Amino acid sequence: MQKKPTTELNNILGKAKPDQLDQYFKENKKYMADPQKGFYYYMKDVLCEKNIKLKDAYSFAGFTESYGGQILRMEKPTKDRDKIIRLCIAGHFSWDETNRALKLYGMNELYAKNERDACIIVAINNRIYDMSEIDEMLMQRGFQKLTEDEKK
Amino acid sequence: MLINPEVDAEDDVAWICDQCGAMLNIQEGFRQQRGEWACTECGFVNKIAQSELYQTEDEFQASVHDPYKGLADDDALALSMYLDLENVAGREDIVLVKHRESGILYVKKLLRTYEKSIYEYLKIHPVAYMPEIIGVYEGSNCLVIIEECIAGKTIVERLDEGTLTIDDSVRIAKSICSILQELHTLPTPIIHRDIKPSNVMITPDGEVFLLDMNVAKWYDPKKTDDTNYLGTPHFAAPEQVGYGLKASSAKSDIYALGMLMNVMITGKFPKEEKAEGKIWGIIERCISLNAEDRYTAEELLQALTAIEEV
Repeated sequence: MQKKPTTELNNILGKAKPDQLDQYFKENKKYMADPQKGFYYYMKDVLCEKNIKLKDAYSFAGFTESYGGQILRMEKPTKDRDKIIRLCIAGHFSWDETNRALKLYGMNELYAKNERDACIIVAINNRIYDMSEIDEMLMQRGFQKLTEDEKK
Repeated sequence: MLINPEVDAEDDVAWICDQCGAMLNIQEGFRQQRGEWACTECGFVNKIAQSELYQTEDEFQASVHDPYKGLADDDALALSMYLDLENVAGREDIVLVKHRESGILYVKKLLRTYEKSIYEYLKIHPVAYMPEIIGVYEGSNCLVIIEECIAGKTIVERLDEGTLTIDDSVRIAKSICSILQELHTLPTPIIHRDIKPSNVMITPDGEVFLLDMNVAKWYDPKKTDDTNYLGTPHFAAPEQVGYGLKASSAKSDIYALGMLMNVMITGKFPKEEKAEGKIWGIIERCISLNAEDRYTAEELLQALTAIEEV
């Protein structure tokens, strides 16, 4: 991902006069430490490292490309934690990568003391990325499955 | 090992040897159902299981760097109780973490080279003034350690403010001697092998902690050479980096402590600037090229105490 080093931004800001601040923000918007962009860039970085295409990740997660993109760019924020977990599983994230993604999205990380979360941690730890297999694991234990019946 | 649509194979999955990269599907006698398969090219026993499936070669390469790969389920669950807060000193392999229930801060270390048995021993037999080992978890790529977080300044940070007085240096060295006495007199002695300014922490209360057992090893009197030459330049005793006819011993730690004393007092190594006064006689003996001439930890403690009393 593109980054301008914070030191370079500091240097620019140090020389800026008050009336130049608007211009500064406009020119450097994409480099600003935007919490929303943090999630987007992190997901892209991890998928890029694994060379897994975004469209494949959306598809494995059960999203249309359009909806998947909206989640990733946080244009359509969701409170449904399972959607983020599905995207991570579809991207073959490890459990700590999944935790980081959840944290960046502003959600609670997978918690071992929550039995449903513990199942998900164990599935990911064993590299079980088949969504139907994970759903079956969850349902066998009386938990809600990760996938939804309706398509988005 | 991965699903590769570019390869023409009867099975959906193209199994690739993790060691030599040969395609296993076409090797005589190969069956996916076998659970494991010794590559006929290199002999490496590959696991044939769902957990070994990767979408891409890049995903496989990324997994080689995954510090948590191959952890037992219980260990993964235990580790997920610690939330990552930030990297320590900008390092990717040392993380400040917080326990989710207690809120207590700990340090998580991701070690690629290590002696697991030392950490397991120290977890059960903690040594005073060394960070307590809370958890030891071994995966395929890393040993993950959760240890007590000691707050304070390392000697490196303290030296940024200026050199230390001889009195302070002696006090710190005496504390380290006491820790080394304990390590060196265990049923099988442990040699620290990495005593240096960044591994000595002074708490706000003035207590001295010795950090970092990453390079430590069990003392073996029968060995004449260390298997791996590890340590930090200038602080590592000659025998620790392959000179002489002996392997590392407790005396190797004394060498490093001597160097540390000189650096605390002058900011430099003896080659550049020797510490002045009676302390130099002690330092000089600590850093004798011949390990047998150096003090033991107990003798050094006595010598330093004698200097303090003058």
